[in-house]
Amino acid sequence: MDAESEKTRIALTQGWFTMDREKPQLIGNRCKSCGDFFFPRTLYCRNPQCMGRDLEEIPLARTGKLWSFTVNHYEPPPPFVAPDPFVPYALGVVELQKERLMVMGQISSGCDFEKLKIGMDMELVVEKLYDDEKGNEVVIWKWKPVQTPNI
Amino acid sequence: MKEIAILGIGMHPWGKWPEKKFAEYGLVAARNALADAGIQWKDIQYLAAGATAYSGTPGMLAGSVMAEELGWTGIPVTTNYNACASGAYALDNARARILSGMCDVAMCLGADWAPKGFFAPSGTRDPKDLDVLRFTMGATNPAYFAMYAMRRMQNYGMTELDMAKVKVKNSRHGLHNPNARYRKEFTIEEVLQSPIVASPLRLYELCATSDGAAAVILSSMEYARKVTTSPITIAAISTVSPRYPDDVINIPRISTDSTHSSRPELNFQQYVPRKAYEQAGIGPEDLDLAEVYDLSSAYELDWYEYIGLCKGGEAERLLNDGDTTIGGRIPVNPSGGLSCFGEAIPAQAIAQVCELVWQLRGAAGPRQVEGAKVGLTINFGLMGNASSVIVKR
Repeated sequence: MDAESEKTRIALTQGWFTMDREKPQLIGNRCKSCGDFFFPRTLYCRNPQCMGRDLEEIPLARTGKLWSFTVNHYEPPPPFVAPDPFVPYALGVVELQKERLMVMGQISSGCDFEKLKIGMDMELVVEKLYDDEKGNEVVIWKWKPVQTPNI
Repeated sequence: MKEIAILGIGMHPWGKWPEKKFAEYGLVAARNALADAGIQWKDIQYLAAGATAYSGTPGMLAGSVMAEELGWTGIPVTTNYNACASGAYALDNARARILSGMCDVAMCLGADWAPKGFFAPSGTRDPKDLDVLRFTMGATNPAYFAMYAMRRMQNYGMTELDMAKVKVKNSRHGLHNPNARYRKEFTIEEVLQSPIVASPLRLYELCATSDGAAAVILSSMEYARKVTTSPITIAAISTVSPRYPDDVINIPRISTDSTHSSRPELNFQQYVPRKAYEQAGIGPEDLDLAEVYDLSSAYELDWYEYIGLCKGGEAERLLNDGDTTIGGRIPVNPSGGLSCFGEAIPAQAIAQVCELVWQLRGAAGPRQVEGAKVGLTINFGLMGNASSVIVKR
């Protein structure tokens, strides 16, 4: 566990999310004219009715509703880096309510995929995608069902 | 929109031949189309080809490669890449030249060679390129189709059996199609016993990657009337791109636009056929058959609704009532669809038009849709490239 946490964490897409271990966030931006949100960040507003030039960087909501998901049983080709032996992984699309946009990500690998259900509350985590050839941990955002607190 | 004529069609059967080159298939399709039209290669005044993505520079210059193979005649030759809609954009380019009077007769051609298995990005390894990023995350094409299928199960109660039935229907349709790659009648049990690739989709419910080629010869109506009394016509070619905000997570995106300031009236999948109907001045009630993009068996059901054959949530009933089977009210994918062909990217939209022409000529043999007069195609691909063509007699 200790050796694991000492590995250098590298974001697959640097600047797209915070590296906070507890409460990471996706970093999007928002048009100051029309108010639309963008993820990944854009240079200018992409709303053709607006074409705003002034956008502010903004962290996106950490939670949303699971729009859909799938569990993948076949190993994809590179650039996917598969563990050996290959294990099935899940992908999900989560709707962010306030921003009114959806973001795809892997589902946290520690989850029981059998329990995934459309509409369930999900939260953002940053987890390992693979180890690169230098032994660094390449991380990316993933979605994880929100734990209902035990009473 | 003014109509143009289809003078001839030709295909090379779909399959997988790793040792061959795309030009070999392309030549067969081109020469078949010329023979079918009863005209000579030297009569063609413009060649529009779709590019093939996995054959390097020759693939990017597919039109030039084909013109050289056929024998240079000095005509303008173009190659376009619009992912799965490449063939449709070739048709669109040829129509523009014909309707503007720049030429009378043109050939459109798509020939593909692709590696076996999942499609993967070609060219760049930049993780911020969305196509690279989504593959690095493991979002293969079937993963997207699977998430749409999961939505359909949730929203409309689509079952495993419904999905299997689409495959069984299409396998029966394509059984005697000489150009189809998979000519085998599947049973429900075989489909349901095939392994899950991306839940809920199984191996036999997903489109394979194929090699193949298709060509059509197009002309002005004036030119067509000189060679035939009753030409088959193209009444519409819809090649439209998405409109902001695009709220569907289409390949290769990992996010949607925000619908914070505005909501789309139609999604992109609905907008593509809408534009075709507008050009042709007809509606879904006028169709006798349709060739739609069954990238997965569940996706075929979505298309019934997007093209207006029924309301949202009614596609399963259409399927189960036999409406979309040959002999039913509105047969869908009488060719066998992608289910029997697999996808040969730049050739697929042209192959769909070939099928409509055979059907409208009454020359489709055991898969004939009786009395077919109007048909529609739907083709859908990467990065906002999609098309719909309406063919009439």
